[in-house]
Amino acid sequence: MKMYKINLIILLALGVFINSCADLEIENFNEPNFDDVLASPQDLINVPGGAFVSWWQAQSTVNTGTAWAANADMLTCSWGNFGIRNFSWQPPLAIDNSLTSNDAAAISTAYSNYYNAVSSGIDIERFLSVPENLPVIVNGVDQTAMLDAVSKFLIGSGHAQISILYDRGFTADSETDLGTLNGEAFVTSAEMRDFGVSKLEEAASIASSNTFSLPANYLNGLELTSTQFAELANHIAAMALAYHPRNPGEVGDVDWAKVVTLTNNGLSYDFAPLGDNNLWFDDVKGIGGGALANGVQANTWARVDQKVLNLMDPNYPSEFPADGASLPELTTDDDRISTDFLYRSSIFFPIDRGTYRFSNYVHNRYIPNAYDFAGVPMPKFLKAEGDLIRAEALIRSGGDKGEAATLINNTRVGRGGLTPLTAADSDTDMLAAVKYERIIELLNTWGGRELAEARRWDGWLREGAFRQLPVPGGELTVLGVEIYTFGGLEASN
Amino acid sequence: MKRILLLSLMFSLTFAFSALAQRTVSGTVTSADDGSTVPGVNVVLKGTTTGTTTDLDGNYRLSVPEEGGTLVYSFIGLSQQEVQIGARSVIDVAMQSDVQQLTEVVVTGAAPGITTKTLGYSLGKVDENLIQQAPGVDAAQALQGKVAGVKVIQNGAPGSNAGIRLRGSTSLYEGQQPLVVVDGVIVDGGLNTINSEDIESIEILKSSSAAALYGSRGANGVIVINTRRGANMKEGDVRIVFRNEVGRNYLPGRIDLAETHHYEIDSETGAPPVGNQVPRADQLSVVPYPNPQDYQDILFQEEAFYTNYLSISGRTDKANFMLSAQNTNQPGVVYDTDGQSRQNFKANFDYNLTDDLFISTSNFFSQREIDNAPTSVFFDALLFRPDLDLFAKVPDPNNPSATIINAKPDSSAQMVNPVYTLTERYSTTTDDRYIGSVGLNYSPFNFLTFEGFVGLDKQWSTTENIVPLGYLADDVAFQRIGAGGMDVTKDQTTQVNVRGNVLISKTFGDLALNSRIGYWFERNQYDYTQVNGDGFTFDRRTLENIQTVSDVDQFKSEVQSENMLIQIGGVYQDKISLDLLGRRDAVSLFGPEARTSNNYRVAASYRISEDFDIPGIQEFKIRAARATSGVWPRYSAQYETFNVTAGVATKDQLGNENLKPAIAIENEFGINMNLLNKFTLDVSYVMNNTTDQIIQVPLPAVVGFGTQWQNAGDLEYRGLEITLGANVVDNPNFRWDFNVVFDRFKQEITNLPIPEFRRGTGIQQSDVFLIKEGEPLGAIYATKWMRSLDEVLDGNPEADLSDYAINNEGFVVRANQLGTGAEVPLPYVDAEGATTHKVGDTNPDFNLGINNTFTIYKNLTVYFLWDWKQGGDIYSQTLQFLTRDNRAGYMDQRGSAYPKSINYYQGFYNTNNPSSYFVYDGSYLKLRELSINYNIPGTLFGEGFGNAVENIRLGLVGRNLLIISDYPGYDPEVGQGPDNIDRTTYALDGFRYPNFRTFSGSIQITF
Repeated sequence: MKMYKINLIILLALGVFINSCADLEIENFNEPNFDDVLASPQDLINVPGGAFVSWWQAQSTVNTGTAWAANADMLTCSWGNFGIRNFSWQPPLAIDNSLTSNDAAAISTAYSNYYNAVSSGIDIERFLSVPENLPVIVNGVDQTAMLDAVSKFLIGSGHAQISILYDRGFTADSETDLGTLNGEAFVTSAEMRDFGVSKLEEAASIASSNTFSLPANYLNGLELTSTQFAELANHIAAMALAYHPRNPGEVGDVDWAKVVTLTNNGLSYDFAPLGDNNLWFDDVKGIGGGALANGVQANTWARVDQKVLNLMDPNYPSEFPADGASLPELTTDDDRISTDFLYRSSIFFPIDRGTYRFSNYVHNRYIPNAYDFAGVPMPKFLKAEGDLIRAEALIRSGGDKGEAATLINNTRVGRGGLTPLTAADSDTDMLAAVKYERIIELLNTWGGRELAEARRWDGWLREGAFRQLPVPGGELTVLGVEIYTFGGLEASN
Repeated sequence: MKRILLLSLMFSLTFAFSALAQRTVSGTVTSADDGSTVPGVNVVLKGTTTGTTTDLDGNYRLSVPEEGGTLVYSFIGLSQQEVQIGARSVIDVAMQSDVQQLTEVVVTGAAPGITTKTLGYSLGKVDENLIQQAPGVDAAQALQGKVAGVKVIQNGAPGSNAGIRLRGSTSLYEGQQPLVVVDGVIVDGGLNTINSEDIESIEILKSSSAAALYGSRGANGVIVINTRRGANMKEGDVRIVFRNEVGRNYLPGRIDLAETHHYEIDSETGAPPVGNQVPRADQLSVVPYPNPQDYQDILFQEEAFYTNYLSISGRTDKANFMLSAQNTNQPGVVYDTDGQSRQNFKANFDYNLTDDLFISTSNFFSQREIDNAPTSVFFDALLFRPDLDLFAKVPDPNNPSATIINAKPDSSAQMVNPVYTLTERYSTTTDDRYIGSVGLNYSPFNFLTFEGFVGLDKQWSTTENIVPLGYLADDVAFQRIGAGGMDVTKDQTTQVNVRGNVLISKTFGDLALNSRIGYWFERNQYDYTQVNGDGFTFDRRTLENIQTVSDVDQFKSEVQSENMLIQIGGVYQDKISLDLLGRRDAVSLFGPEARTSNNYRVAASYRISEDFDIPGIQEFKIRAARATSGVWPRYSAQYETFNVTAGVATKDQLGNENLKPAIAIENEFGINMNLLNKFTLDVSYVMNNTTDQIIQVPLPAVVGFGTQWQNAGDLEYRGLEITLGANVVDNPNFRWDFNVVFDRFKQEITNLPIPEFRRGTGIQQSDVFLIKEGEPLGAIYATKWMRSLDEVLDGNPEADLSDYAINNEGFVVRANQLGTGAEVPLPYVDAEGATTHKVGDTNPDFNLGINNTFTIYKNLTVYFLWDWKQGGDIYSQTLQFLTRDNRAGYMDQRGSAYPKSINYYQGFYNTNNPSSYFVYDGSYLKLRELSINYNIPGTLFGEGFGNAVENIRLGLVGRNLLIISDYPGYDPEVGQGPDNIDRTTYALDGFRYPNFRTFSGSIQITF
């Protein structure tokens, strides 16, 4: 028994102390960290993949477009999701930018996603600024220039696109000490725009003077050549300038000559990554296009605002009648009424939420069958957008009106089957055609476009509709800045 | 151990003897529970100072007057008994244990040698007697209303885990679930697999002091469950207990729904059309639907449940054992769901290898299957227009010769027929769990004991959600309607505890010193895998037949900790105690610099009644304690992470190597008294401050990483707990015991150096609670609808008050809209322009539980438990959605003197933003448990069963029998979400599985 007992005790002691060798240095089994992501050139080259997803989602999710377009009277919808209802009351309400706001995601998603892309751009730029890291050779190919151009693009497009939507922000690149940023570092949207445009010009310059193609996993299936990539950078820079005006009065302040220069090498193609239903999807087209999110194309989401329909058929009411009874189909010469739009006899919105939210049309130009974006091209920036920005720049800067007419006719005639414009048409008529084309042709491309478009034409935005977004309340509070907001009849814009 | 402590107690007591007797009475005192003899029992001749105590074998001998008199037998922890002597010279007494008194001697976590009598801090305990009055399906039910400072929120779904909070809140961001220890094993997760019948006692270490032994993860307190063993039985005894319980569940209440609408009707059907409805000009919901139905009567069904239980326990001179098996089937109350079916097995063995070597093992295995009810049915059954036939059949598009239930009876609505959902979709969870331990105690000398302990908690869980081929509704996210699909989730948890303790005890005169030096090791591993598959090829419901695997996900975690502790307990003259504890933890959840943390406890008590004879007070102890304990973060908190999806990494969370445990510092003062030979009183006042809260803090967007876990903020609470027990009447034929538990806690976020933020229960738009400095955890912030004209001026000092009026419901409206269809409530805006305001607080003013046990003619026991919660608001998302869809009962305006239009209620709906209209007082008084048990002594059966039957117990048990509350939901006891959500604080009611009423009968035969 004694021996047995001693054995037991030894066993017990062993049991305790064998197990006592605790391993307290436990790694995270699941997600990679910064060192993993930037461990080698092979890892570095994958960083833009995530950054482009953030950038894409900043302009393509449920929270980044439909509610703003409803505020801008381009789309309409009664549902309370994603800020849609609160951003489109009549009369308009101020955006609830408080920390307790239920619409916080509709204010902050674009801001944080664009900055997320900027942040990755900074990581790459910083990596490339260390001489020992150069050149970056991956699988025997020198990818330094490609990564350099991409980093500048991510920083530049993030700033540029924030400058279109928000009234202020930070400018940051690899030389900025992010640890010391505070509220005093905020700059105006114009400064954001200029910083972004200069970075985009750098990106375009690097891309133009080198030859590469983007890996297929950057833009899901698009292996852009360096030339195409430079065109994309130029396009976004032109967008930042052309869409910056917050009201019609500021349109004249745009440096249209620079827009012409930038669009000299603008998009020669429709920029349309492929969907995968996972990271690459486009709710701007899905929700904005009226589909039900969970698989049935019942067209219970956003409808096309009566103002847009009225643009196509001036006899069609620009406000839905108060009795709520369905309207008949409209009459127009524009062929796109049958290719891009769909008449629905049923309206699913509760009538109690106001007939001003009603419409019988959905914009179904892009919505894939059963909301399945897998393998489907998702046009974000159309060549037509570049054409129309250039056309406006040519008209407003006294440039070649013949070219402007041709650019407008590309879609006006090419897709709409409408009467061609000529150089002889007046500037007013040509600008009206630009406005028409941009509203009809570019609907539901990138999130925020409808707001940027609506605010720059006389009489489109209702009084009290917000013309830009405030920096999200959470961000302001983190930085110790008092929360402010836009919109509503009594607030400033 | 118990015997030794009893002896020490005996020797510590002194009595005066009288020698004026004329004859002698002798006898033996035994325990009525197990027949064992009881030493140290005071035996006193009533009305005199004549008395003695029983010896080691429970025997006593006392001189009494020739004419007899009455003997009073008393002993702490046992019910006092009075016996007429009469002419007898031998009087044997069997004493009943008394749960009201300080019966317990050994306290988990206290220094060795410190008993409840000398304990310096408060401890909650629920004993077998109380638990077995109405044994619940799981152990959490045994805690409700029985211990001061314990809050339990049950979710009605069979097999779900209760939300439990001990005392006030300690965490601003995560849950409050206490640590659970079963037979010494620190287990992972809650109490939902543990059956009640095996439980001998539950200790609730609710204070930081009590939980300090568990160091850096003890701040939420600890629930210590000890199961029955054969140790307390008489040598050579074998006891078999066979118990069957059969009962019924039903949901007594219904949510009041409007059966009217405000639309023009279709003249053919008499109902509004499906889609394209046209509102009436008056916007009043006054037109009844034809043949309205309440779908709640379909959704909620009466169901039968049962439990079978068998246990065998026994004791020999060296060993004891307890074996049990339990089979329970609890279908719940939801149509076409089977609820939980569970089989539990328990095997406890103890063996004295030698006089100084003791080995103990506990083993528990549980397997269960749960047929889950989809949450959407609770929503759909309430919101559908009430004139639909949910059982109506339509042609089956998959099989033209057959018909099926119409999945979409209202084609204009996004909702799906709940009958279709329940009959056509499947969600099943199967769990297996083993909890086991081996402990070895070796005492080579009287003063020295070595303890070794190895424990394991292993859980396997699989959940399959299946949407079969041909499923036609669109409430599931699969790509093609009709294609179906499934997801399978498997997770596995392994929790290992290893402990080595050295116990040293030494007495120096009147001073008994005890110490424990320990090394503890814990490891928790978790592995979760989920596979989502889209589209079945054939109607075979496994992943084998899936066309496309749409997503595969895996998450693994491991946490290790090693801890050193030292405890010293000193007891002077069994009167003054001091309990010191220090513990140093090293935990893998923290970076190298922050990995170790220290916690301590200082607790002291003084039994005043040992020095001062206070009339009417038999025991009076004052106590004070100060301790620290910690809160752990979640596994991933310290790490810098990127999200990786489809090979693409995006920045997620910034790491924090300096993250450390949140620390709860608690001071507690209390008294314990035994009064008038009838009452026990336990009062505690506690002040707790949990600093360095672990919070996921937002970062400036340009950093790229959205958040970082940081130590930020302090949460403080103060509380008062009172427990009053009484043995009001103690006659041989009638006995009445009651126990009242009261608690009141006030808490405040005293420091929040980060932006205020919202929290909720994790469901869509449930974030109605604001975490804000100066507020309690549980403050509800929402749009507040004005109720006084002064409020109008706050937001608009220039306002002409004649433009406003107060309507019949007390809300401010525009005067020119009063009584019209345009009348709407107006939101309050304060002078600073703020539109969101504090409109509620979920923290109650107090909680009060009263349980009574009446024992009539020794064999009939009537027990009931009342539970009263006063105050504490509830946010009803259910009513908010019902308002959205014009289905809330109050929207029916028929017969209203001041009818309100739909627009009026839609104002309150507030586009699903938080709205003060949906904040309700959550006060309630509940008859939570009622049981009537009748004991038929085995002697009645004579030799018919060969004397084998010890007794037969017949019982009736009811739960949730009566609820008195103004709350308009199913049950004011609300709270939902996973364990990292504090369900006890976030009282949000949003279409959850309701708590239901049960009524059952049981028979228990003890052999």
